[in-house]
Amino acid sequence: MLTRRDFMAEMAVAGAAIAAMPANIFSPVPGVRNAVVSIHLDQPYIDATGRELPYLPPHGVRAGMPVAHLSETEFRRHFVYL
Amino acid sequence: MVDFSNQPTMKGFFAPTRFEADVYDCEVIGKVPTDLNGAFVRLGGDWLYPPKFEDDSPFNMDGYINMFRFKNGVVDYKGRWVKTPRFKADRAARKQLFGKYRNPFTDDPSVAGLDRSVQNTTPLAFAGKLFTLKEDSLPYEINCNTLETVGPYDFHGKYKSLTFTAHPKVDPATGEMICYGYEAEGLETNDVFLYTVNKKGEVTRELRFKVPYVSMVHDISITQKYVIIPIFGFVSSMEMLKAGKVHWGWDDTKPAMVAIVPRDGEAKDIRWFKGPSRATVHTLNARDEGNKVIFEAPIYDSNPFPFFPPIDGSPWDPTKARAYIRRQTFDLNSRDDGFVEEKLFDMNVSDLGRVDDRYLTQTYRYAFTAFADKARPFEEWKAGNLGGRVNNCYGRFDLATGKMNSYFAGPTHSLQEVCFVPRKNGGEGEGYIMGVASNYAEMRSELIIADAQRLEEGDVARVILPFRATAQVHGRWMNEDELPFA
Repeated sequence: MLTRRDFMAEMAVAGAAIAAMPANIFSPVPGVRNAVVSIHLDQPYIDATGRELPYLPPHGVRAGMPVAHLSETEFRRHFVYL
Repeated sequence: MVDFSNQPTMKGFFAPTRFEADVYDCEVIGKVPTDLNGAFVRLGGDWLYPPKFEDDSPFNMDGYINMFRFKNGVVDYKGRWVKTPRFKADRAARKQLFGKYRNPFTDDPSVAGLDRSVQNTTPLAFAGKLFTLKEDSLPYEINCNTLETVGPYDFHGKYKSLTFTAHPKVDPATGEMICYGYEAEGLETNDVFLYTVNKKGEVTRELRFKVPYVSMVHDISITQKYVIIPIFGFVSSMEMLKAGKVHWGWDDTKPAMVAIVPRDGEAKDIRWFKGPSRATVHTLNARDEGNKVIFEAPIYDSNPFPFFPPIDGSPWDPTKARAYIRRQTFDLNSRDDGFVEEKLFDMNVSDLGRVDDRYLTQTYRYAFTAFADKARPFEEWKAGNLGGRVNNCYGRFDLATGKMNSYFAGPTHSLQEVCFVPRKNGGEGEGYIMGVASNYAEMRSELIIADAQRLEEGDVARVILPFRATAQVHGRWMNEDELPFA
């Protein structure tokens, strides 16, 4: 299982590698396309070509996100037993 | 027109569902044990219409009963609103007519005098009938096959309290139910009516007494000789209600008090004990040891509910809203009103704990409840950042050894109240734990079934609902022979 920590570490390595690439490496791609994070088979990866769409969670996924910003007091004011 | 868009917390997984549902032959991952025949019945709430007031309590949501019906290894699901007069009035008006939690002064004048109950706390099977319970009103009888609402129930006119607890206790030795109502003679009265109801559903005893101050009396415990009744810092008054506030506020100056009431005695025989500020919302079990009463419960340090705020205007303190499994010992030979308290486990837990109900009133070993294990993974990128506010484990707490075994639900899940289902003819703790998990990545609810003696091995089955079930307050397993199931 890929942990968040491992994922961030991989991101850092990949980011450094991309930064070190010559600027013309993306030249076969029409227009200005940046590297994006994508997901394949539930695993995140860096798409250096920029051809893939950035990862957008499908409808319903990250269902806890709308209340993530709430303070503990605000959260518990509305949700007693999850 | 219904509009929840200005309800900032009713989004994502927490958006109201508002529909009734039937799922025939539910999808199952794993194998449902064939010795589970009966139903896991859950009761909770959902908002049919948005609350009239932003600072209302979630305990004011409309009641919703739902059932996982088990038969020969397959499971069907059914969910229905509890159709109280209040529900019907709101539905007819197509809007929320009722104001704050247990405050009729905040209602629309058109519903004055109507039963305000929302029936959203605990399901009960007793004397061959299925009930919903809410502590501000009488029980409601429910058809156990259709889950349609029959109506309020007063035990053939013999139950005189206007209210009925959400936590009656059934003595496994006699089959009698010990139950009670507080604010028994109406809003803000300090009367408690305590009843014994035999297993045929006949009231056999009533004891009336008064509490030192009007307070929440949410749960009790029983021994073979006594009833243990905790009250604690939630206070109320007619002035508060007329000022438009919710029913309860927290008064830190009020001591936690515990009444030890003889099951066959009179009001004059009640002993009141006092302790430090605590909140004993739910109990585990109690027993007699000589002339001592031993009582165990997941007890909060202080006010667990920010929607019942401190009356002195101070902010609610989340660091004190933590429950720990504690033991309180009441020495009936003592001349003072103090008692001894011990913390049995250092970790804080959900206060919705359960035991093997066959061991109520007796020496027992195991308590079950949910808790948050921060060392387990939580995949925020799938589930959303819930800031660690998930109960991802069920624990079996061994009160004899201090050891804890745990079941982990998964990296995108949070668990609601656990239920223990004993295996027929098994010893204490032999059977299954059961409870609903919210899967924040799949936007669905999953009923977990695990062997209570092999929690680390994971679940034996998950019953998958293709939607979010309404949030549960309490759920109970009801054996096939307890109710006239079709």
